[in-house]
Amino acid sequence: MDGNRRYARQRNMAVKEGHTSGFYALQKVVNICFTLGVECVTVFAFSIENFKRSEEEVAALMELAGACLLELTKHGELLDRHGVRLNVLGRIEMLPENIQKSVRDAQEMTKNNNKSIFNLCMPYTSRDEITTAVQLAVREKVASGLGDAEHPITERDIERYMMTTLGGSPPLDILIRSSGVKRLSDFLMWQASENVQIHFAPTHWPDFGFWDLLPAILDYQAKAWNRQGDSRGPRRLMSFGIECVVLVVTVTLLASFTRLRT
Amino acid sequence: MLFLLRSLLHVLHFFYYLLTLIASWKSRPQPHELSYPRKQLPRHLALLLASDGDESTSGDVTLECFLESIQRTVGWCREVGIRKLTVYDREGFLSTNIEQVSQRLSVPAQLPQEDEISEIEYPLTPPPSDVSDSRPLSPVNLSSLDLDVSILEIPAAPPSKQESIGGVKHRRKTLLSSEKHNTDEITIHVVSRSSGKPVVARAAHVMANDQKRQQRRVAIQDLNAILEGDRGLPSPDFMIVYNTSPSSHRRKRPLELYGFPPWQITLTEFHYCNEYSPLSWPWAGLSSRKPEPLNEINFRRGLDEFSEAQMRFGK
Repeated sequence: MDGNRRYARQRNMAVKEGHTSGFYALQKVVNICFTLGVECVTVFAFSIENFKRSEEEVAALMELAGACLLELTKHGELLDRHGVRLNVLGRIEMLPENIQKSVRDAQEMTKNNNKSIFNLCMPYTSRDEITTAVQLAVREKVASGLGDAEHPITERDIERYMMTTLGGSPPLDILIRSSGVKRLSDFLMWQASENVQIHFAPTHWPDFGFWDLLPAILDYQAKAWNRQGDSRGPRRLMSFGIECVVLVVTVTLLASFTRLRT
Repeated sequence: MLFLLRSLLHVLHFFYYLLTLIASWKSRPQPHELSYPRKQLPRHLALLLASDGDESTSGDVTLECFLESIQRTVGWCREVGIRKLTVYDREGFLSTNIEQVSQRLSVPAQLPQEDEISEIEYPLTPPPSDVSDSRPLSPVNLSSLDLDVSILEIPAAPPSKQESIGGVKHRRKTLLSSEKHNTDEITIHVVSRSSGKPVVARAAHVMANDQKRQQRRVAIQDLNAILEGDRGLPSPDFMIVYNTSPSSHRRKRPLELYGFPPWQITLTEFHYCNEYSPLSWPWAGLSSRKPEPLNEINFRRGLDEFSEAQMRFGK
């Protein structure tokens, strides 16, 4: 969710207003995702590095986070409608005490939902997540007493202790970064390093919407279809054939419709 | 009803395919020349080579294509002044054929000097005195850790003019002439998927053995010191992702990282070479095209993109 501040500057708005617009975009996009049937959505709301920003901006962001969580708990329709469980991932202990309480309340409220998952990363960095997972794997190994070469810690062990996995999230399929920046910036690096389609959308986050999301969905579907059938298999030809037929039919219908109008 | 919806979805995909094709035909501006004075240059460039979607091509042909791409890239890096390069391929074709990589790159560019032999540097055991106090791990354990990174040092050819010192100082600011940088030494890290997640797991195991005695919590700096240390892989600031297989150029495929070591990509700027056209389809008369190595236009376009990138570091 990048680009709130640049969006605000472009429109001569205060930075705080940019973040608020970003919050509305978040609600909109999350709703679209769950309506489409996406099982799990993870958003990068606040980086541990963002604490370096001005006190004023950090306070505004914390206030917004508090309002967001309050909105979710008071008007739980969005989450209940889609059976969403909320997980807040990151170093929650670094948040102000009142926000920590809101986090606990929101997670408690949705803990029995099991249709889909909403991961809110704040304050989070991927390196911190990997390090924490390593620490948990190490602690497990030390406790089990099996430290020899025959029972090494494997990447599966580390994977199990990723914050996303601990929250029950399935593997990541698509990662989208808004505002045109082409970096991961310490977000979900472990999860995104393999079998994940990465998109860099030029739109700033407050402007992000369905049409920015659609290419990512279509590309994912194309990949899934490719995986199902052989690359030169008859299925692909058949689907191509269907596309041609339907296209011809659509064009014919449109043409006759236009002729009827004139 | 379901069939109708499915057909509509197929139509939507078809229109999307057409749109992306049309978008790809729009001519992009020519990238600046290699010697163009760009605002910023990467200090450490990574080249990710994928051969995805290429079932018919043999391993040898793919390896040859990779080697050609690397040879070209080393030449361009030399011209532009990039001294650190990482080359990655998922399966480890390059790592397992490291002698071929080394041979390929030891061919002198223009200067026929007899001492221009590239040396393979296998990971060495660091002497205990190198381990600083801030590292909690015992040197014995650390030195036994296989980080799976092969490092090639291609030495600088002796400079023809007495201006190498000036060349180093001004390298970051402007490129006055490409001649100076033809003589720079280049360090190349050759890595594969096994240099990434499996190494993090191995590091964790070493820490577990160490923690039985020390009871110290793992910190980001600890992992970083191991993964990006002398024998490890430092973080690249720029990565060019290139798929050699011809079938990858038939339709729009988004960027993927093919298992690149996850720790090191925190602030890496990505440039994905994704030209595609219907001419890549077999039925367009150009049947079963061979894999193509990276070309200079892609490289220059990547450099142009990098020079425009803005870093904010969270602030």
